[in-house]
Amino acid sequence: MKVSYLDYILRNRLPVTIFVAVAAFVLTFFASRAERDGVGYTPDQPINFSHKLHAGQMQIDCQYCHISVEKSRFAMVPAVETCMNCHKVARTDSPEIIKLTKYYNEGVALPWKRVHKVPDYAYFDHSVHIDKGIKCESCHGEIKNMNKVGQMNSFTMRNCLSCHRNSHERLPYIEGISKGPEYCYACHR
Amino acid sequence: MPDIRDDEITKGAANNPDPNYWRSFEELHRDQSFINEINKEFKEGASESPDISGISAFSRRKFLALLGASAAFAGTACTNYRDKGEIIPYNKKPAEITIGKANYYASTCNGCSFACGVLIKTREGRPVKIDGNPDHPVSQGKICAQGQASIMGLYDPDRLKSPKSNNNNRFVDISWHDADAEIINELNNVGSKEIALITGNIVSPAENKLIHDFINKYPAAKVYSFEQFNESVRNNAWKKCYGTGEFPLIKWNQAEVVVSLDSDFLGMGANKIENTRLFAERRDVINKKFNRLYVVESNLSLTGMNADYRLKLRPDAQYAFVMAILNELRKRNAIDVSRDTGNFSLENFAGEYNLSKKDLNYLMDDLMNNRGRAIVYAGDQLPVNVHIAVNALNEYLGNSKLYNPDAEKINILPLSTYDELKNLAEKMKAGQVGMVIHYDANPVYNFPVNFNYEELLNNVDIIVSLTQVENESSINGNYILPVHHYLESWGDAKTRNGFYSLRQPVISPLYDTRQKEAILLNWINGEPSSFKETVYHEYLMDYWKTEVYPGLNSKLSFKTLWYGALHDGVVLKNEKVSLSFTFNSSVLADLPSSAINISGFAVHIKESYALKDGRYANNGWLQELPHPVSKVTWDNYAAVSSTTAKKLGLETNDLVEIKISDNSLTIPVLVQPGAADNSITIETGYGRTKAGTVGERVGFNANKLSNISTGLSPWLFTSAEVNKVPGNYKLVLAQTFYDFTQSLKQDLPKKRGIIKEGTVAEYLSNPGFMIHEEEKSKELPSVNPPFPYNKLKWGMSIDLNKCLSCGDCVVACLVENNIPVVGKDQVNVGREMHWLRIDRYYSGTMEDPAVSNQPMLCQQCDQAPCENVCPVLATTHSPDGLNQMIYNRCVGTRYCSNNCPYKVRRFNFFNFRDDFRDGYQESPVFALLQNPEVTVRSRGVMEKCTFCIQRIAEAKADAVREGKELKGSDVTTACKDACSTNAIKFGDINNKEEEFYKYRNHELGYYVLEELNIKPNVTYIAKLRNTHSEEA
Amino acid sequence: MNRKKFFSSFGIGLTGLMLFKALPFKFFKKKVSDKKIYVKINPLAIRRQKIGGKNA
Repeated sequence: MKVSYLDYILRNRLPVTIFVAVAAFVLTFFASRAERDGVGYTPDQPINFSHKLHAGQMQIDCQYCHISVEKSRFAMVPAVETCMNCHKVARTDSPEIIKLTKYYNEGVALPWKRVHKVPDYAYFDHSVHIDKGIKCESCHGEIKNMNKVGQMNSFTMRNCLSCHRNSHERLPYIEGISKGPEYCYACHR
Repeated sequence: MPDIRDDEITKGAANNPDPNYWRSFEELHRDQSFINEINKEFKEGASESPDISGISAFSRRKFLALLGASAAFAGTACTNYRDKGEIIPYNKKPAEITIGKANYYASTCNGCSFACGVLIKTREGRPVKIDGNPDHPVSQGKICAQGQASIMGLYDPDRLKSPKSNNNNRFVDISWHDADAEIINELNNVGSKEIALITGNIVSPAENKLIHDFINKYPAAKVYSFEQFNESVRNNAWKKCYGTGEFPLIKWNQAEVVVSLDSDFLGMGANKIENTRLFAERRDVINKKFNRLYVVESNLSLTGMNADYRLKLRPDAQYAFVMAILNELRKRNAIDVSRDTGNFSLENFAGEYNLSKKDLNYLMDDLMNNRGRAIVYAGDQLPVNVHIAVNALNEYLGNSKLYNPDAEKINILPLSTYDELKNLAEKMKAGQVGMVIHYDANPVYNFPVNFNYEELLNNVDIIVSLTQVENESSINGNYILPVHHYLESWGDAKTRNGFYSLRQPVISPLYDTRQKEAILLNWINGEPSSFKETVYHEYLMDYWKTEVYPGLNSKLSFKTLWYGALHDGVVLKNEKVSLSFTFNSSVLADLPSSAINISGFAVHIKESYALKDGRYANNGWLQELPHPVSKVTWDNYAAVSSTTAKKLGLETNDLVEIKISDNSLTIPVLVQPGAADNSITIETGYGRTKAGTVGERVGFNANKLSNISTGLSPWLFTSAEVNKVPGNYKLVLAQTFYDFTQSLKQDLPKKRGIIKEGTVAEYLSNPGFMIHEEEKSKELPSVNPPFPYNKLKWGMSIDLNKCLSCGDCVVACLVENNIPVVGKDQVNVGREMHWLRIDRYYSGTMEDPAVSNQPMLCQQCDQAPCENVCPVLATTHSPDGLNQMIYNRCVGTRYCSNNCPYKVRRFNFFNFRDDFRDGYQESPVFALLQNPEVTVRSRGVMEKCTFCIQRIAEAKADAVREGKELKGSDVTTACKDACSTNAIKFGDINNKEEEFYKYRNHELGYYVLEELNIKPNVTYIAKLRNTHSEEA
Repeated sequence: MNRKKFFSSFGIGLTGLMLFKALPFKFFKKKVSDKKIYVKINPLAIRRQKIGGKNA
């Protein structure tokens, strides 16, 4: 019996096509997870600044350098001048400090590699989060133990929303915390 | 088939070869081996399969595949897809900057002589928004549309960046040092010739002293200050009537009746901000205080649109009108005038000019019953006799009570008279002017055309132009010296008694420019290399220390006062005045006792609502701002009445040639409902030949008609000839013209309840007259389940009584929300991107329309029809009542705009920034203008009013930081901030303590298209016309 | 022949796209050559004390 064209399509071509499409999607979906949510990205910085030393061992408060985290949308990477507050005299022999001093003396801005980035269409506001009592570690991970800063949490909208919706479980150290906003205008203008 | 060569014939031929057409010897001689050879189809080795073992295992196909794959791999491997770029902080952070938070600086605007105080919002060191300074006693926190849009001038890509000098008719760069040195040399060697310093109105005491120092240093110098639209006629009249040219300010808020004679006091002139604020105090639906406005004018103006009674009268007949009123009052024994006031008769006048006798009677009654509480006000451009007559009228009616005795307008440097300017022209003609300095002025464009200034410049040896952008006056000069924008400048201003205003720079100069005062100062000092950027700052401080500070009698040290003054922007001074005006009634004797002979057409030249005298021609936002009455953008036109148009066979877009003695102008016509017959009104500021990328070749230069020797006043001409000329010019209106003839479209706004109006009498007798409709409560089923808005919910109310439709709110919204300029051809297809627009409706006939205005913006409907139809849910509703437009989700279906009954959604059909004027708005410096808190939209997304969500979000964050609850009164939208009459109110509908609450629940409040049950959140307070109770 | 036409038109289209992407600067000739603009606060200006939020 001759196999009809339609039969051939349905029994042969269709399953194969579906399988290829599904397999490709599943493969790329899982293979690109790191790429999509950025978790684990730990770039090399122009100067080997160690948060473990400064924030962990020396217990310098996050807000000593990241000064506007309580006041504005942005946390502000500190200016070179802030580093020189101490490093004019501290460890001036270290090669990293020599690099730093060179930047300062030449008036060149230090191009740090950006680790955490929320896309431009999401207008994230640091001050609201800090003013509600959320600790830096809740989103940025244990910075105090990092020699090189890496992204520890996913900054996808799904992740932000999961904390907004389950704020009670995710942030147990804040008493009486309310749910974060779930409506679009909270972040997307 | 047998081989043909075996044939007998060929056999024979083989032995006898044909000597023609042989190809080789072998063929000729029929060489057998050769013949065997050519018998084979393919030559040796040609047809066999290739030797597989010989060729590479790599086929061409495989090679190509490998190439593609390796390229792909290389591509992915080369980039680190996780790379997020750099984050670059300051090297040394300026102490005042907190990234993400704005700093505010107080300064003074220099857009016009009003010198409003401004508060400039800067982000990361650059100004992004200009608003009024609430501490300024006169402008009280408001500025006009030009002030709002002036920020574009700072970031104008057409700004000159370095000085230029003219080298063989080409401008080449020159250093400041060289330019200064050469100019100082020329200043010193001008000999017996004059140095003419041409400026605009000088309102700065320090600058005034500087100019006098300049004249002291160079005695040949003479200053000529000129503004094309000035109050010289009024000054003249007051001088004749009261002895001094100083005229008082009017207490509009105490007037029960205002009669405006061709005076656009609500729409134009420097005093607009104060006038509108005071006037709107008597359009108060909360305190139920209403005034009555009569307007007698030649063309429908902004003031006329808001009139309760309006009469049309050509401007050259105004004198006869005022005298007729005077005579009528005399006839009714209402006033006591001892002198003869001619033979003007109001009855005859009304018949001659077709004025409504009923309305005139009302006017008479109102004037007679409101002595001391009414004011008759003549327009700046009317001839001096009208002003004198009006002054007399006001005096006799006792209306001088409304002349403000406590506020004095200060004239730091009086404008030059037209005679003095004519003198200058004559000196120039005689070659007696050695040097002309255009001190941020554009006389080639603005001077009266009969001066022939451009030609006279040829007789001047050296022409120096100090300007921001190249203009008509600078192109033929010797030196062009670029000056700072006022946001980069120091200065002060004194416009009234009682306070000084200060200007400080909020940004360091962007280019190699200098402040114009500093340039003069440098020339006074005489040593070019001694220039420092701070030289004028020191001069200013010095002036204040020696001349101003002693008079302030302050207990603070000078330095403390100075820093405080810069911080506040305003310094109060105890300078009480008590003005009094004694009328010299003998002036009536000099008035003509009969009307002038009126023939032909009257031509009235006004300044443009958007561009003023043309100085804002390069500002795209202002060019695109629709004219408040006609809604025309990007052009000017000749406004004619429909009767006159029919008489001349004209329709809108036809061209006419207007001839006033030797001057003529060809300009398109717009049939303007409500214009007076035989009267043409043209706005100037257009037709500029050198203004920058945006302003050139836009509109028609009405200044061609400004021959002051032929007019009744410098702006008013009579006996003009108007002829239709062939040709057509499409005027682009932002709102299509209302078609009175189509019965279906007629009265649509009324039938659909878009505009609801009433009269004051009706309201006062029955405050709830509008509510009866709502009794039939329509609880129609809705698509979405109702949401209980029991927390903060945003709402807005627009009081149509106070709204004068000036358009300042529109421009404020443009600046705040990064709205692009789209250009004339796009406005033509309805793609202007104004989130807030002002709709203007005519009612009645073309000849005598009543006008209603309505600002229309996204109503943030609770049951928004746009939200239901978005296939990707790019527009949803927030729990605080806002309709959220999310740009990154929008795919550009445009279904939402289709569904919007108010048509307030604007779609980005192009990336207009890229499209308009070849990417003028994509210029790197233009990016500094954008508000960083608002997304800059690209092609393909829908946008609309967001109730300034960026301000709401910031206020929310501030509330959290301060640990307080967010209140509705914590947030103001940009439009609300800009409205000088405070017609727009914004706040929380659930908060009973706010002022907004009263408007939200006002008995006159209604919603547009309420019956659609989409529950909009913008309450409109119905307009009440203060007509007499016998009328509808 | 169909295959050839398909690939040739695809190739021309791709070339055109690449060309177009690579040469936007042709139209920005004037603007790109503009000097860089530095934004600097004027150090002598006095700012209002309250930062952010409403006016004053």
